[in-house]
Amino acid sequence: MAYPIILCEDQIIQLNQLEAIVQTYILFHTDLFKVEIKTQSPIEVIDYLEKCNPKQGTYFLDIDLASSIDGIDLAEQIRATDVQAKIIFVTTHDEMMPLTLRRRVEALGFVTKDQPLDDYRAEIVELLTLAQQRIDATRECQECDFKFSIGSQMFSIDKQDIYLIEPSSLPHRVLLNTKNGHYEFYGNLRDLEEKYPYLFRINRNCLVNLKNMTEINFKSREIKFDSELSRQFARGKSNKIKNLLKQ
Amino acid sequence: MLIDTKAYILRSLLDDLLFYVLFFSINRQGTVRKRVIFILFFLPITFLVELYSDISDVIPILSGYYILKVKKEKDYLLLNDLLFCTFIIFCVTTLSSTIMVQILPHNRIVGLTGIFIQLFVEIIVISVIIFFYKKNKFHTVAEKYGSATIACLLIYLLLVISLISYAAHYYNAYDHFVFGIMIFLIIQTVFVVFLFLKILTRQKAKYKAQIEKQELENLKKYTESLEKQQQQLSKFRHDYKNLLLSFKEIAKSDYSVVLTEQIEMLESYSDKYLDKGEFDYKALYNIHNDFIKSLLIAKLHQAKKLDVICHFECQKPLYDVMIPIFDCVRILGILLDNAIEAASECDNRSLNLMVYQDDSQIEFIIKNTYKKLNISIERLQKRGISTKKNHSGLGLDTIQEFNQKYPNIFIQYQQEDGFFSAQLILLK
Repeated sequence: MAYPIILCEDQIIQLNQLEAIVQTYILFHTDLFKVEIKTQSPIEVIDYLEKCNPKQGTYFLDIDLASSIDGIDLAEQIRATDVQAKIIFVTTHDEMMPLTLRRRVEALGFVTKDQPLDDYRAEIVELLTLAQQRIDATRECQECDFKFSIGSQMFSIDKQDIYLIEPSSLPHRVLLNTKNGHYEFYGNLRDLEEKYPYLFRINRNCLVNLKNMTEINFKSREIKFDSELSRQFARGKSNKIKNLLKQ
Repeated sequence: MLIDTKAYILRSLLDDLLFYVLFFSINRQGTVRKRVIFILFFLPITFLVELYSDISDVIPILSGYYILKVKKEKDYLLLNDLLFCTFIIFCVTTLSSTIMVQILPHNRIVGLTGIFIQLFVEIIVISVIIFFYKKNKFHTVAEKYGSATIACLLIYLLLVISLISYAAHYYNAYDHFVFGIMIFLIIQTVFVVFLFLKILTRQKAKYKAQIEKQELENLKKYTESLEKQQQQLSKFRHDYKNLLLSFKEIAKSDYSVVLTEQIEMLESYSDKYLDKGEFDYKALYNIHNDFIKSLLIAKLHQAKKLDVICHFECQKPLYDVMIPIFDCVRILGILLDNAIEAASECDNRSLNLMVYQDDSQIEFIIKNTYKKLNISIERLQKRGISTKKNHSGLGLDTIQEFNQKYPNIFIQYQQEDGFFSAQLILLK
């Protein structure tokens, strides 16, 4: 089954141009994609969502659609039905709001229209390739992400980036240290230990991802993750850690 | 000292006349008719009342005020002038009397000659006063500071000295007392002048503050209208560019080389004029909280000065935050300062800001480029730890304190692709 591509742009000329670029890509690179619908009206896209209930589609949307709903509203509706949608915004430089759109609808990427045609084409091709990679990746590993949420925002962290989790100084919260981030959210270690078996409890107050440690000293019972981050493990855990590391 | 009755009456009449001369030479209010009425009616009345009573000084003040002023309006300038003239006449008569007492032998009736000498002195003094009044443009000063307070001060001064002189007359001690009255007059005048100066400085300060407030208000209105224009312009820019893009595409698909060239010419021409200005953040329009807005404006300017390329997004209007505003401004200030400092140290200077809102939270994302460093985020949060020597630290420990203080704050840090981002989440 091919993954659907949906194009929505109010200017017919630009819509046709966009379609031509996408079709050329499909022709030469992959038969995994298929342009299911191209339209000037967001209403048609919504009808299509209701009728066909597409999964893992790739959506090219303009923000200003000369309609009562704009591209951002449309993207939110798409995200609601097609959770893993790959949304790409095609718009003029002035309207670009990359941070907001990443945050609101987890946009995959952005293409500015007002740039030379070759660059425009290159950016679309690049994003299509990225979309394909992402779709492949989710097929392989649905459950390996570490997920948590704060308010309305879902955070999804790659298992391979996780260093350690420990209780925060505030009640009911935990601190998560990763390769390139530092997060705080509501939770407790016991639940997390159950939910993510790859996390190992080195003492009463610390869950670690042993795969990411850089150095371990059994004499001082110290385990290091990078030059700055280290924790002590409990006396009784030495043997268990040794066994796990052998695996 | 005794005065011949005829001479006394003549002196009183001339004193009253001097008042009108002085007043009309320093004040030009009212029509000619009114001024003639004022002098023709009230000069004789004042004179007659003066013969029988001591309150005659009030008559020219009140009558002058009500005749000459515009109806139903308060005119402190006019009142002040009238009071001032009365005061001067009083001073002058006291002065001349003092001189007369000193130079004339006692126990002799003062005749017409004596009175003429006294009047001569008075006229000279008054002429000098008028001369200086006009030369120093005292009138503009009076106009500028003519107020109820000054009128009150003058009334107070007049009341006190009339009371003293009345008492002196009552006990028939005027001649002995006239010197004392002189000194008292001087002391009182100094006191009133001192008060006047005090009030003046206070008034000036108040005035200045008022003007500044007004200026600020005007600036705010001006900014608002600029913001509106900015929005309209950016909408136009967007539509215009879209149209051009479509034209270009049509021209290309028709293989019309000339048309394509012409459209490209138009495009490059209009690009010059539709270029983004120095300070174009239309998203600021959506920030309706003055504190956050001025913080953002200040920081964006600061970043601009350091050649940091800024990008700012705020899609929904922001009115209020869920924590006390000053704490919010402080947290944002620390985060923005760090971001600008870090961005300005590296080659690719870039700062991205976003304000995001939905039903459950408000978020601020501050994303900046930074020079690679080997200190983990965890250590940066400790007090006094910094990326540089002799630096007080990043203030992340302060933020940590706020994090403890309010249960609805979450702060996340991330490093990715050469960008450091701090995310402040405030739950509703």
